[in-house]
Amino acid sequence: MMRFIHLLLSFHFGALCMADTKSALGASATTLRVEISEKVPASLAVVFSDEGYLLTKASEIGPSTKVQLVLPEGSRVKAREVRRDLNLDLVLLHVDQPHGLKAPTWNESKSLGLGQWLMAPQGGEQIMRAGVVSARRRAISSSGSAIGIQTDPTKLDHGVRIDFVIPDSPAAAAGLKADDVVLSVAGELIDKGQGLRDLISRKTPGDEVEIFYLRSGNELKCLVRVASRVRIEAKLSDDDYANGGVSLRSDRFPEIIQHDISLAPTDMGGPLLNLQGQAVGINIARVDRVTTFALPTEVFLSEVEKWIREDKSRESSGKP
Amino acid sequence: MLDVQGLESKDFNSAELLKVQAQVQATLPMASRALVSVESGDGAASGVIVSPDGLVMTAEHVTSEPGRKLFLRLADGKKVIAIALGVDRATDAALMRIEGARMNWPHVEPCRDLREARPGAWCFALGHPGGYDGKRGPVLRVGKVLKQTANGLQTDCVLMGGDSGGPLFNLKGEVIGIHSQIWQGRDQNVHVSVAPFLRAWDALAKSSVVRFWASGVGGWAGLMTRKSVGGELEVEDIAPDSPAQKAGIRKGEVIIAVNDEKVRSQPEFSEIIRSRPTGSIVALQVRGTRGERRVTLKLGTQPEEP
Repeated sequence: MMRFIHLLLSFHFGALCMADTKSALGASATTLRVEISEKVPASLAVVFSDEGYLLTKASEIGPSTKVQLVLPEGSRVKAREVRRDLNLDLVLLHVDQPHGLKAPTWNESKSLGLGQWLMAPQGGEQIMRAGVVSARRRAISSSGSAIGIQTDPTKLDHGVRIDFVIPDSPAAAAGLKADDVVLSVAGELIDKGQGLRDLISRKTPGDEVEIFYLRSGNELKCLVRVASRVRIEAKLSDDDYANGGVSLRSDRFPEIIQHDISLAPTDMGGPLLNLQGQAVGINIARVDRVTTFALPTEVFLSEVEKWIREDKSRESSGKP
Repeated sequence: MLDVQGLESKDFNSAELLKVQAQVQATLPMASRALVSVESGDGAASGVIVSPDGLVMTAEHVTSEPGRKLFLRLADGKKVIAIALGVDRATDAALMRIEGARMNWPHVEPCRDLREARPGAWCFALGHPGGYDGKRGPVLRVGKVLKQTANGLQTDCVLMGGDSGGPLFNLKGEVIGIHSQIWQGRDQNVHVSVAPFLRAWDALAKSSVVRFWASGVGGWAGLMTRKSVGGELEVEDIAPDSPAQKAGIRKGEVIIAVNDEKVRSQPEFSEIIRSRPTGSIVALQVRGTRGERRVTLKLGTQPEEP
């Protein structure tokens, strides 16, 4: 850790320039850890504005999940979900007290070229990693959605039998096993494997679906988080050592910056910084061993400002 | 990819980073034009054009056999056909040639002085990880050399499937290595250096299959290995009067570990043997028809080839 601090000192970063570990954590008040429960990290959140608004990655937090933010000194604070945007895969959060949060300087990203240095915070320790813009800026179309099961084509009276559950997939995480018989998904009865696949594929990665299934004659239910199909397929081959896994959702983005900083899925939602320490985007998907995607500022800046204006007028009209 | 924590802070400052950035960006256009994607039927891989008449450096595990026909995709997306030339089974080096009479292929130069590719030297990797993607284009990784061995380089330029056979460059834009294999760690990215290419260039260009390294420093066991159908390291042949023969190792046996460290690939095995001086003792865990056993052998010196 100390070495890292020295390193940042040699950068002369302004906001990120720091003298010791304590102030290192202080400086990281531009980025907070998001937990879905005590010590279970989900993502990072970057402070968007000094009035207590923060952004994080939507699909790492289930729509029904109450999240808490970890403040620099270690205490937890509840955050209100202001807005969830499935197009950008962002959630806007708000905390009532400012807690010393400081928004980074948001800057344009259009001028970033291939090979340009970038930095991003990683993990609870707030290690800063560096890397470069590694491929062309572009849109990422949908690969469809999946939960990681293969079904038996044999026709049953009711439901579809699971043949195989891909290890480390959303289905495995929800406790589904081979030989379970899926009866319904998100309230729709299932009688064919194809129907099941189509239904799942229409969902957005990050969505939660309720699945009723039969196991040894007992009817059970579980909540399964839907993932990008490309992620499930990568899990199937599983030979690329993604180091810490890949994001549930890694596609259908209007525009991304691709970089080579090795981050974990739980580091998404944190800022992507240029060498001057200005934020040029938000890390939005860990894709594979060599790829991380970030949403460029141009894609969300004015949109988020609009959400905040709407929220403020809603709040003020609600409180006479 | 660069692990900031792993760098020596005294050598690391934004001025140096910006200098590296400028050099990478200056050489990148030419380097990208020389990069090719390879479709071999076993999956996607990469390669790099290194002569105006279309010689392409790639990995042995990409071309497999001399004479094989492979489809290449150029930087602009155009498809051309290449024929596999020689392969070096010991180091994973291979050459191929693009078909046709064209004499002005966009190309880069292989580095002829590897002394600068020392640990700590900046480098960058190009390739088509996951296969060719026209919208994405070539994928860049900038990092440092972590280790240099007789025939290999290890860097923190993170690689994955599809990068195999792609080029590793120094900041002058010369090829210093070819992507060969990865282990789990982010910093475990292994490249064949240009050394075995340069040593055997004529033989490779004549479509020879090279199995032994040319004589030089380092230990010699006298074992030729290949990957078995089951993905294990199988003894293909044993040189007469070699340490391996004296130790009683037989053709068809499987090498499991060297000095209790598991070995999984030919380049890895070769590297372990090669990195030890003549006269050192190594213990091999070998599986034959009668089960596993441990044999020790004293490494010799590679005989001069006629």
